[in-house]
Amino acid sequence: MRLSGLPESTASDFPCVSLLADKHLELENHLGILEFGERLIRIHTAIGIFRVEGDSLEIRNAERSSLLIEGKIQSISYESDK
Amino acid sequence: MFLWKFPRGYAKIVFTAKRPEAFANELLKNGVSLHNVHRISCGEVEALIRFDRLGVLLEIASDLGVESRIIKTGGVTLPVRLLLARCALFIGLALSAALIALLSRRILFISVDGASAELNSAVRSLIEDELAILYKPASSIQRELIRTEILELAPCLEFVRIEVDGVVLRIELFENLDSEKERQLDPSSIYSNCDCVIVKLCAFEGKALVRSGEAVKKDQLLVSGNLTAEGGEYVCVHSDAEIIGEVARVFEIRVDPTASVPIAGGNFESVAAVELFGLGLLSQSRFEDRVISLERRTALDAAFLPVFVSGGKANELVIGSKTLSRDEMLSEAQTRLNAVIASALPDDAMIVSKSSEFAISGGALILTAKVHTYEKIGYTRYL
Repeated sequence: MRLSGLPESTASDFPCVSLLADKHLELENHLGILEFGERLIRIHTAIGIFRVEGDSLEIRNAERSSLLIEGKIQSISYESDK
Repeated sequence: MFLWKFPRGYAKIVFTAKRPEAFANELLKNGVSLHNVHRISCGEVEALIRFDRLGVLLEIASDLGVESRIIKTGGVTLPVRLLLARCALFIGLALSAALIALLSRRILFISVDGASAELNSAVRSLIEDELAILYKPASSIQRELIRTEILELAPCLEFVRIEVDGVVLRIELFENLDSEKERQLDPSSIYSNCDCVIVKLCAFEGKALVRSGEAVKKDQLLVSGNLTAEGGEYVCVHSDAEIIGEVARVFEIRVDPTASVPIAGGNFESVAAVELFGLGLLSQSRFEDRVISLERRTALDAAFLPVFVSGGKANELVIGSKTLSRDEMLSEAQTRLNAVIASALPDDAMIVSKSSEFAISGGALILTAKVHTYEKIGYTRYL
């Protein structure tokens, strides 16, 4: 990717996370929902398990490769390497 | 953001599984998007999906042994919504088309021409009232029957043309003018129909017996159809001339000093009026005829609009006897005189002079008018 000069996020399976304040989180290139609850959502990605913690979490929109999560987001993290 | 569900239709489902996340992932893999995903309990999840994906969901649920149930459906698919929104339009168009198709096969208008206005009107009333053809289907028109009825009504007609043009029944009348023409060629003379002074006489056929400036009496022979030919023989011709005479007429109008006029009676009631931009609204009254006198006028500022409110009283009008002044009698006499003159003069008369004078006799006003007119005179008498 570096040779082509393109950003890595444009042509890879790497997850792309967009966070708007602490209300909206959009995750692209996910590989599936592992766990879903009001306080914790765990999502499988190409680089590991993406973890969202907060209150009143809700999956507002789930597509084949993207997720939109809304709620009071307190933290996001990756649990482990692939 | 989630308005998609209204135009496309949506279903709210609840699926129960040991691991609902696995079922959700399977749905996502098969292109079934999930919206508003809530976890109800440990093994129960509620979500919205597009209505057209419901079949795929049920199929996957069946394959995986997941219990899923639809708890609500809503929205409508876009084509259905469009159809529903235009339902009134489509119905209106269909009804209009049906109405046009229905009416276009019926007679809605009747056109009669070709003869005099009176005869046209008589034929029209015959068709509309007696034959009742209006609004009948065009195919049921019996032309021969109509033709026969019209010819019986007016024997002077020679021919009647009947055509149906869309929703119009056109009837063209052809008068038989031959008999009248033959009559017009019969030997005749022209006589004066009133006392007058000849202003112009131009004889095209016949012998003029008077000259311009000559005073003639009523029924006096003006143009003779008896001619003396060479050899002393008489030849009779049909007289034809243009004769203009100056006719003097005298009109007299008498107006009595007392007249019955509506006057304000003793009965009265209070009234109120509201005026806005020159338009007034008046309170209702129990009097059929009344005369109103407004006394108070107050301006109100109603939302910057100029509103005026007036109050006053209305007196009932009663028929009473009134003694007219001289001017009132003269005005009344002039009005009546003009009406009498207008009705008495022929249509082609041209007023060349008009003088009037009045006199008071026994309290009454007598208005006398002398009117001089130029008008066509003469009538034909056959020999």
